[in-house]
Amino acid sequence: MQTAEKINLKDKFVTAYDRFAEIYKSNNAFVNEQRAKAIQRFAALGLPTKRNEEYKYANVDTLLRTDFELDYNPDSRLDKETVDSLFVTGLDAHKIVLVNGVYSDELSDTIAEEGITVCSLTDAFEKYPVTVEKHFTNYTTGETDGFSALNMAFAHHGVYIHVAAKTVAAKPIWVLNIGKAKNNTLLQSRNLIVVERFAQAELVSFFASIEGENTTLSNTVSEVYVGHNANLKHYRIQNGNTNAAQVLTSEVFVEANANYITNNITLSGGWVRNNLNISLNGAAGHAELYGLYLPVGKQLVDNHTLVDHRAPNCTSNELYKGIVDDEGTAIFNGKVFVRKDAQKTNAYQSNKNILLTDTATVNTKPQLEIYADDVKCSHGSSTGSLDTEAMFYLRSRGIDETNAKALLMYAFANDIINHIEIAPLREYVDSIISQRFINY
Amino acid sequence: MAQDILEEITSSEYKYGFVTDIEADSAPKGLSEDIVRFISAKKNEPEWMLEYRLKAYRHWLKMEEPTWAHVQYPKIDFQNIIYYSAPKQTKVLNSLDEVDPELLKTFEKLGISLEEQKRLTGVAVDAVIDSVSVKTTFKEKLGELGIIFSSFSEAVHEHPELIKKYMGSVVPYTDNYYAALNAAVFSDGSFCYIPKGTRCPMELSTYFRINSAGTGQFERTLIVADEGSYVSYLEGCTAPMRDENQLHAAVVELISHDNAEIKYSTVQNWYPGDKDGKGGIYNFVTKRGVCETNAKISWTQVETGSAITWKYPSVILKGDNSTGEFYSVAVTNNMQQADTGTKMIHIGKNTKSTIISKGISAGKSNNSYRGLVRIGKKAENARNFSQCDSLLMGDKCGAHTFPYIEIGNKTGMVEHEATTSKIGEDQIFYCNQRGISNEDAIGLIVNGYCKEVLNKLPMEFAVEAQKLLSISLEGSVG
Repeated sequence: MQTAEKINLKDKFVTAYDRFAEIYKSNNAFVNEQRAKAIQRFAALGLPTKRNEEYKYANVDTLLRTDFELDYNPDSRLDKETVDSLFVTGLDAHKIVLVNGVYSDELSDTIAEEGITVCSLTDAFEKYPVTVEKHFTNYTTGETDGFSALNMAFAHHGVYIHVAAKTVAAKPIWVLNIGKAKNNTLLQSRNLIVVERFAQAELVSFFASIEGENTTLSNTVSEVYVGHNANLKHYRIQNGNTNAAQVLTSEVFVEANANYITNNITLSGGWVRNNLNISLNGAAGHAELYGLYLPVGKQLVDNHTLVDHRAPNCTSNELYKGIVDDEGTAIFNGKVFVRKDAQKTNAYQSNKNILLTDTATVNTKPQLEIYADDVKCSHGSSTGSLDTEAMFYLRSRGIDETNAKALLMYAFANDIINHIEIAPLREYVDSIISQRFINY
Repeated sequence: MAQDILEEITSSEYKYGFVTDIEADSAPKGLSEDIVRFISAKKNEPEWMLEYRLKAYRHWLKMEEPTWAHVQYPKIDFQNIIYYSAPKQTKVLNSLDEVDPELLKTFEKLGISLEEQKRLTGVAVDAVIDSVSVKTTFKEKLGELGIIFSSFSEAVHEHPELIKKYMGSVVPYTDNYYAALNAAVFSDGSFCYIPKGTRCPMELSTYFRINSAGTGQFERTLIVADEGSYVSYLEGCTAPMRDENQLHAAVVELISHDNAEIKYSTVQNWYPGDKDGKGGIYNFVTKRGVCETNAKISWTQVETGSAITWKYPSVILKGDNSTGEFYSVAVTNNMQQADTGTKMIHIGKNTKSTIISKGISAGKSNNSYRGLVRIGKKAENARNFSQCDSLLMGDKCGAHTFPYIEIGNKTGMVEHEATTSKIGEDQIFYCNQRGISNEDAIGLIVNGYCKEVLNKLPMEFAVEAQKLLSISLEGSVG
């Protein structure tokens, strides 16, 4: 029964492709060609099932029992008040708005800063063919993940951000993704972010959903290029509704001497799957990955990270933390891959979890795959409940149970939040989680 | 410098690679229901045993060969294997004098003189050649205590009620591809039963050897420790050097009843193939134990041989307060591949498990740790600690760690740590300037690195294991 339905979904999307390719035929032949290849890959791969090792714990079968309709031309109108209400107060940033994955010209700021170009992906196909052809689809691993291949096949909506060489962005770039789709809709969006050599930028990808508790699935792929000696700080904040499912794939390509620092905070969302793949492609590249996830109710958060050390002298540091309550499920799958030539690699990976109830589940799989000998790689993982001795200490100092628990959880989460360098954003996240910990 | 030494390791020879010229009684190549019947008939088995084998065989036909392990090898042709080969000698042996002198020589070469063992070390040995048990020592003395230690086929005849009760209770034939194959064609192995409240006075030991060409070895070990008993069991293995790959697919089942303890140690030294990866044993083994209340199972393994090792000695912690341990040293060299680790399944309350795994890879080898720690919903206060370290020697080898951790109870405490590194130049330098040569420094460091595991081995094996380590890694400088 299950499989029969799944074949339906796959066939449905494959069938939908022909019409899509006709309507949205790009003037850029390269794009058309890549889409055509991707639909073939998707046809071969299909959507993942739980038999797929990478989706073993994600319960993807249950999710895909919903008969999703792929909407490749979703309604992207939204009033300005709603949009403004979603911005973080006190944050001075270039504001970019995507509604249902569609870049909105009216709602987004016009960026006057020199060296920073932002437009819809479709416009970029035509206006910047050289950059697009150099980077677009170059970093995706659509061959192995059905969602990723599906996204490429229907690549059309999304945002293109380009930071020119030697540009130091004066303000963070804030990309607000708002979901407001109808029930049972699949939305897809694709972003291309290019930070050229010696440039510096801060990017915030913020995900929120409005209009009720509709069951939606959004499948977003971002390709991020960090040129040599460039520096990109990338924050992802997910705050979707409890029926919203999201597959968020980021393929990051880091050149020599470049830094890529990322912070992923999943505050809410029904079913969240984050694929974060970072390739350290040039010597002495550096990546830092921080993550915090707080599933409650029946939420599921699945973080898959891959740090691929392809060149010598690169360093990577990863710290993911989670607090799981109610019947929540947290999954962490981190892989550090060190290739033959990546000597003098220094990689560290750590995953820590707190379970608050007996019905909560944590599945963690930190992996090392190493083919070079002169390396220092280590990983650690620990899972348990709140430290009873610490609780006792706090209680003995006259702090009541609720506050003592909240304090300990806050301290635990603070390791991640502290790495947010944009003060208003940090305060925003801080206030949300401290409020939540008190109510746990 | 490092280059020379690496070459030296790759050229160190496998000293157990001789072939013993014993006449063997073999089944024709290939696998079919007839072969299963043939094996069963050869062993004069009762009807229920044959039925069990056939059920397993029919199930095996429906299964697919697993491919998820991090190892690569050409597809095995299951029709090109001899599934039964026994030294041609059927009469009952009463004393060692009657054993084929060729066979005794084999054991002497292996360094396990049965006679000497009998007199001096007090280790009861069950020797298995080409999957048939040829000699069990100390049987009578153990018999006085009510301990049963015999070959599997003897046990089928003498203690059918025990075999029926326990065989397949931990590793059913439906478990996996190789377990099903084993259940269909296993030829012999060891069986051991320790009665209630008995502490086995000596180490029990089995030596496995594949001798004939083109054969697969499929043995089955079943150890049952009844309430409050204790047993320590050793297993060692070697094989001749051959160009072809030979398959070894064994099943080991341990049952530790309330308050009982089983300590199972393995020194696995199957022929690893030559330095170009030609020949060698495929070691695809299913090992698993069940612990009841307050029981304990401890696996210790030193893996230096086999072209491909694929095994995960596991413990199901079913009873409350039970304990599982896994200590492993896996060394791979040349073209060897190892994918090994453990599974600790916590079901009972207050269950504890410890995993210490040390991998050493040299040459062009690949060494993976793959493990599962699962804390069930009802496993309150379960505790696990895992540590998996890898040491790399040379820039052509790989070391990998794939731990799976599944936690479903908030009172569980699970910790996992892993590191990968090479032997530090500063460590070598420190030894050098104290007048210790490079060679000795490596020996010192590797031994120190593995000490936690080697310490868990019984005396007799610890010596052998240390020697094996030094042979495998002679003079390697990272």
